[in-house]
Amino acid sequence: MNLQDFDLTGASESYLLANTHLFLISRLQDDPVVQNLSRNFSSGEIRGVLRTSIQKGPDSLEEAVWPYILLVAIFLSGNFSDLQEAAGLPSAKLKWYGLVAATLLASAPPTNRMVVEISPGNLSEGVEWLNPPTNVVTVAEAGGQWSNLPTSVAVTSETKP
Amino acid sequence: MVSNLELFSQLDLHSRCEEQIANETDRNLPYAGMILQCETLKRRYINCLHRPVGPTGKYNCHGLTFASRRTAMEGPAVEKLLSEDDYTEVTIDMVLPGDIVIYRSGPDVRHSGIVVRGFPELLILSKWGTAHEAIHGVDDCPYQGYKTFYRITDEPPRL
Repeated sequence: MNLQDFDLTGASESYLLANTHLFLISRLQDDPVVQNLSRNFSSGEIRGVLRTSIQKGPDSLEEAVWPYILLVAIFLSGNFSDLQEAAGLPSAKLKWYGLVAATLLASAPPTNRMVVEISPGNLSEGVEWLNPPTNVVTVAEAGGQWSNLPTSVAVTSETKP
Repeated sequence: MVSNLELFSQLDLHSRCEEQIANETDRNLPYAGMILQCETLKRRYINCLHRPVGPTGKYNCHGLTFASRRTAMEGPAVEKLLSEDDYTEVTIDMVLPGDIVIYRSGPDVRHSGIVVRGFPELLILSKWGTAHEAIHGVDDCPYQGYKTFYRITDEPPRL
């Protein structure tokens, strides 16, 4: 994945016209290129490309907007920990990187994923083992509360981060 | 010209209440492709008068409206200036040259400009982001949102 693979005309115009970082975020969230990136690549992949792209200062308008495209794509993917890591990348050559990252972090619900191994022996009392096809489920913590737990299982202290 | 300036820096910029106003000037040279994008905008907005100024990141629209083209500012700084510099809202039918217009979208002050022709056929002088300056109709520009007009007043200082 690199910027030559995408038509960044719209995103470049957004960057050129942005008087504020909120304007840039808003326009990039609606940009089809950014939306496609977040759908077609994992947030980890995008973060890897972002890390490489900000090592060198931009020479062109497209290179200037590309890190913001990647950052917003990570935000749209919903992976809070990848967004946190991306926000910490050094970005002295990009005028809005810190502001954009901080704004996205502030508006993203903190979500962490954890794989939980479940076996009949660690079910809560009264919960029936339904013989699922796998005994591993992924649960997510959104906004500080565990959610998306399958109702047919109960998780005890045996967890695997 | 002074040559030992930082690429990004903040100027001492005070409101009438002598409070520092957050700002940042970007002294990077225009990136390749910016001039081409500006030309595209000029072709799209054919009824505007596009001034041969920019592209530059040294100032943005708010810097033109409030800081004599010396620096760039974001929304919170603009709101602070509107409050501390004694701006008063005026209705569109009372707008005169020299008043200012603010374009808002939610909490963001997306754009601002100086009125150069008053009601009823308003014309605005503004800078379009990092691009160039233009004189345009109040709705004939790339910025949408709720528009509010202000006039600076000469009220006694609040001590």
